Amino acid sequence: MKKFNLNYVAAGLLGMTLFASVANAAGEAKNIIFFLGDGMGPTTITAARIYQYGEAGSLNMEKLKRTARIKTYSNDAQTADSAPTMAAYMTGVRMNNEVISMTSDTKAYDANGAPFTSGRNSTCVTGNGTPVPTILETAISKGKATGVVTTARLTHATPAATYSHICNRNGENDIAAQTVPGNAKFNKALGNGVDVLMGGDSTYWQPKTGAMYNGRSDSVNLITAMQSAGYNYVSDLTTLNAAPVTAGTKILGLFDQAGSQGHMSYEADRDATKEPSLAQMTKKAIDILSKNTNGYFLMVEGGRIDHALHGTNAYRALTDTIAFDNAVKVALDSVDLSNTLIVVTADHDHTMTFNGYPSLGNPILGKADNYVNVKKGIPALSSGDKLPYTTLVFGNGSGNGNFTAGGGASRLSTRADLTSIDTTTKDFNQEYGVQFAGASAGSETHGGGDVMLFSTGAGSSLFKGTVDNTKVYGFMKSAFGF
Amino acid sequence: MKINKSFFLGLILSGAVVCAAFAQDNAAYKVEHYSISIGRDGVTRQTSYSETLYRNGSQVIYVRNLPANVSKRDKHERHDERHFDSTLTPQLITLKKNGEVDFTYLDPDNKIRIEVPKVEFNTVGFSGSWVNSFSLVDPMIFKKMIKKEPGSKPNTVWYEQVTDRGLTRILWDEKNKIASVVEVSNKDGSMKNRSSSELISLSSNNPLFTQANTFTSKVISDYRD
Repeated sequence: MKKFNLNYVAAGLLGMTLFASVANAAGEAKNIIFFLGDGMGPTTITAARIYQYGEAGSLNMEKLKRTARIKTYSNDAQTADSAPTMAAYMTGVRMNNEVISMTSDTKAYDANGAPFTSGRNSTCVTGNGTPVPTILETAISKGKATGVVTTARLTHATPAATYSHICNRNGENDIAAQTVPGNAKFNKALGNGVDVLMGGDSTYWQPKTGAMYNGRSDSVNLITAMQSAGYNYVSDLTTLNAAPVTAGTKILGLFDQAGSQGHMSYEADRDATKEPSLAQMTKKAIDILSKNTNGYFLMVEGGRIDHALHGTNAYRALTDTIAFDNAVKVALDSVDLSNTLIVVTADHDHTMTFNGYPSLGNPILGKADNYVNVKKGIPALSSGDKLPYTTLVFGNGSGNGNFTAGGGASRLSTRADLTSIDTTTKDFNQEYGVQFAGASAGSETHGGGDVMLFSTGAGSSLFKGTVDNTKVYGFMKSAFGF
Repeated sequence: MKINKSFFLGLILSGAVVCAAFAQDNAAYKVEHYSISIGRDGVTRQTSYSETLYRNGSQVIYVRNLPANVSKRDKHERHDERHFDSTLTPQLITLKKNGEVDFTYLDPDNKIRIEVPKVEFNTVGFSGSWVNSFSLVDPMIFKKMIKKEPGSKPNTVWYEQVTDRGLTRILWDEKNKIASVVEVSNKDGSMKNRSSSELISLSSNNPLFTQANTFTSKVISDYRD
């Protein structure tokens, strides 16, 4: 009897615990901040940690309470691009590569392999899939404030997956139009519009004038249309700082300080007097959105981590990862975790990896020494060709390794001799294994491996184990109580 | 970029005065590249390829030369919406009046010009040097080299530099302001790179110089996911 009672009590406690866990996740979060480091795979996180804090240190994101591992495959590819991966997080639907927040049957290319785009315009046809709701749209329908902040251009795949629906990510003129209340292409699921929109490259929002490197083909000025719809337009750090943070404030921020890069500057190149950091934009967004008594959903992307990795440029990838991590810190310092869920993850991996057996404390961007040889004063390992190599290398790439005067992607029969080269500088591009003769210059590919997900705060108990990226949507929805 | 610097032993560009002096030449050259190395594994590895350099005043275009069978095999693989072949796509380098240098890929099949902003020069393997683009080397390097005997071609002269790492030899064409030969070898002879140029036309007969302005403009970031 006594034993029975104990078991009964134990079972009851277990049941209460399980019930409490589910109940806590359901509707516990008034606010959600979703951080996305584009291309920020596990190796990038480790390398950034060593770069900034040493081997035993921790990034801010790594200090979050829970950790999970996320599968990143898309509906038609082992290795996905940012469109279906981010859309999986935002919608819970697995879709084809290059498709943004549409049903799984949506195709980015027609039967002849031609993309559903013409220049920067969409040529998506009726019947090619249908939109699926995003967590941001659902948040709007529940009366929450919403924001999208990125260092990539605002119409790039990751931010676009939160607020737009399109069969091919490259129709960015149309993606921009979907945010503009009153425009014929406005996404009506956005209600009165996303409250905070900030990112790079205004050329998708207005016709080309003056020194602009490009512009809209339809001569429509979406910036003035947004201003007419009540948005404050900001274009540099000064105007961003001057913008109000009162309840109901709407902001469109388009930062062109990086000129024709098509995005905001890499952190390593940013002029801190003119162009806001990701952390500064995040703080501004939180200050505005937190005024809404119904709560908010905010997406923050470190968009240029991915671009540096494509260029096999570890320095800029790591410094942009640190900038992204600093934005996470700003959020942690600004919110009440008892009612706010913070999620930090990546959309996909890259092919960067660690080489050799470097000694503890060896600069992560440096040449690989050897933990045994370094004690004997032997400075750096050499490979079979007698030449030293860096700790960080990439699985594939194109664009360096050449000795043409004009550039190009020609591989020499010899590796570069790095003996007298400082590989820790921002313009050093790491070596890679497979040379892509037919690849875009600098276009190292994404990796198909799993990525990390860190979470803390209200509703974070659901984020654990190894899960499909589509499940994250359900976890956030549950945390919101939708 | 570092690799370019390494190969040319730091032949990094000079000022706009030198650039302006070069900027009047119109011609086309066949440029051949060859490298050979003997690894610690005893394997000898060789690579070679050629390209055509078109000079047109303050602009040059590089076009990769391909054997006919390679062109046919790869024709259908060369372009799609988010990728292009940076090896086969001609490269336009422009010296602007303010001394800055533009680097642009020209995709004649799709009539697209792909701009590469300065911050991305490294990621496409471009050193940023107008002088290197126009002359294959920057003649400022000759200040650190020893002038040797005249070359067998008219108006050419050899320059040489021996360091503790190896030997660099350059045959400079003084009339056409171009390196006829660049040779770099390491000390133990296990590695050697050689580039050479040959004048093939006294006109810059590449229509891309005029067609480029009619092409649709994209940026390199449009081809990155």
